[in-house]
This record gives sequence, C-alpha cells and structure tokens, in this order.
Amino acid sequence: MSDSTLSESLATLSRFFVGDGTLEETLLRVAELTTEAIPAASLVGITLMVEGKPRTAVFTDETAPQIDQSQYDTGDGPCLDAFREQQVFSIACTEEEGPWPAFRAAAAGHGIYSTLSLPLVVDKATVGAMNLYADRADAFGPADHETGATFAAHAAIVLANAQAYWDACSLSERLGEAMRSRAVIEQAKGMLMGAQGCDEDRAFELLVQASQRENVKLRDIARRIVTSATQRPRAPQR
Amino acid sequence: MTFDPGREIRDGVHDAGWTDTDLWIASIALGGSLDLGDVIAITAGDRPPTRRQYDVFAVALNEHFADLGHDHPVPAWDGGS
Repeated sequence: MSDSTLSESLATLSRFFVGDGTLEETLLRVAELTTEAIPAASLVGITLMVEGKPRTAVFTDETAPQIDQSQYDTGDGPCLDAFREQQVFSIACTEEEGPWPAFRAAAAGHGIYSTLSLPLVVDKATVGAMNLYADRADAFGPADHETGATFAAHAAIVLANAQAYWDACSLSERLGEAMRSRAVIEQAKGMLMGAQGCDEDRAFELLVQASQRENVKLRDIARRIVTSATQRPRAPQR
Repeated sequence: MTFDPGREIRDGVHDAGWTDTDLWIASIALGGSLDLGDVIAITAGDRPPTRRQYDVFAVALNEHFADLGHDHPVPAWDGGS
C-alpha cells in the first residue's frame, strides 16, 4: 500500500470523535478503515473480551465471526495469542500444517488462506485484537505487517477512548437512575422522622423492616409512604 | 462463627458478580453517602463498614438476589436472617 493511503486512513482515525457513534459503530469504522489501509485483507474482525470471554464484537463480513468461533471454542488461535501475548501472529497458508490446527481448518473451510492478527494495546494493556483475513495464501507481506502494527497502535487508542467514553455515559445514566430512587427514599425517611420523632438511621431501619415484612423493595415502600402522604386530604384552613 | 460485616459484604459482592462500582451505585440509590473510594476500602477489607453502611449494602445486595429469585443471603447486622 502507499504511504499516502496509510496516512489518509490514520488521519481519518485521528479525527474520530467517539461520541459521534455508539461503541459498535466506532469499532466497525475502525475495521473498515483497516481494510482500506491494508487492501490485502478481504475481511476484518475485532475481538474484545466481553464479560471475560472473547467475542468478535464487530466484523466487515459475517464470515469473520464464524472463523473466530473455532478459536473461542478451543481457546487456541492467532487472535487469542495476539491478545494474550501482545504480539503479531500470522499464518502464511492455512492449508499448511502449523500451530492452531482447528483454526487453520476453519479458516480454509471458509475460503481464507492467510491471516494476520494484531494486538490492540494501550499503555501496556490489551484492549482487543484485530484479525485480518485474506482469500489467498501469502497475502500479507512485511510491509503489511508494518502497516498493520502502525494502524493497530492508533486504532487501539480510538478503541480505548471510545470504551472510556461509553463507560462514562453508562455510569452517568446509572447514577441518574440511582439519584431518582434515592430522592423518594430520602423523602420517605424525612416523613418518618417527622411522624415518629426518630433520627435518620432509625427511619431507614423502619423502611428496611417494612420492606422485609412485606417482601417489597425498599424504594417501593418509600414511594408508597410519599404517595399516601401527598394524597392525604388536607385539613381545612381556618 | 463471629459476625464479620466486612466479610459478609465481600462475600455478597462476590456471589452477586458485582463490581465495587455496582455496589456503590446500588448504595447511592438507597440513600448511602459513601464515595467509591470508601466502598473499595470496605470491599478490600481495609476497613469495616459501620452498621448504617452495612445495612445499606445488605439491602442493596439482597434486593439484587431477590430479583434473581434467590433468598436474602446477606444477614442482618447481628448475623441473624
């Protein structure tokens, strides 16, 4: 590939604003840019750890996750090794004997004859791995390895930023929901403190006891207290 | 066995498959006022929870287990059910 193509792909990558799309959309764009940067790649998949298990989170063609599944089933494959060892692994010809036999057979069975697996590393931590698949043997030369490593280094930063951004969004949403639940509990505690002449800890204890007695969530007990108080007829004013 | 509030919370968090952040958010929703660093210190065993803190964590965890159809495995402060 030409230096200008790599430069263009890297420039596009560097302009990513991760908030413009979902994490999945960002990853897919990274995968698509990889095929532009390394034209020998027929398909690209990105492996991430989801709840402790490897998963092909995005792919440019549905064949990629089908091939990857053989790695995940056996726990043995170049992409997993790239992830674990933070090194580049490649297969020049999947029809030849060598490491990862099950993966080789799965790839060849899907018409993939050479592969290049790149770790996505940020600050010494692996955030994912990228698998490049080609429909001919010996598709990835030394220049592709070099380009792939350069591209993967930039892509890893985009992924890490996207992950951090969406983690922060998710945390913010969860905290917003928590604060709404908390508000009604605080209101109910205040009402109990006024009615019982008790302190805050005792008011919480009363809510816990009612929750356990009725087998109802504490926030629902609190909501019931607040609702009944606000719906109570007001005493006529003199 | 002696009642160890810190261990009860650690065990509950482990059994729930929660992170410290999960416990922290659930405690905030129930009116808890600890920050995440305090929660981490408690689950790491660096310091024990007070009774009030324990009660909030226990309710948070037990409500989560109830959502999954389980019993209430985190005992009351004195070690009772």
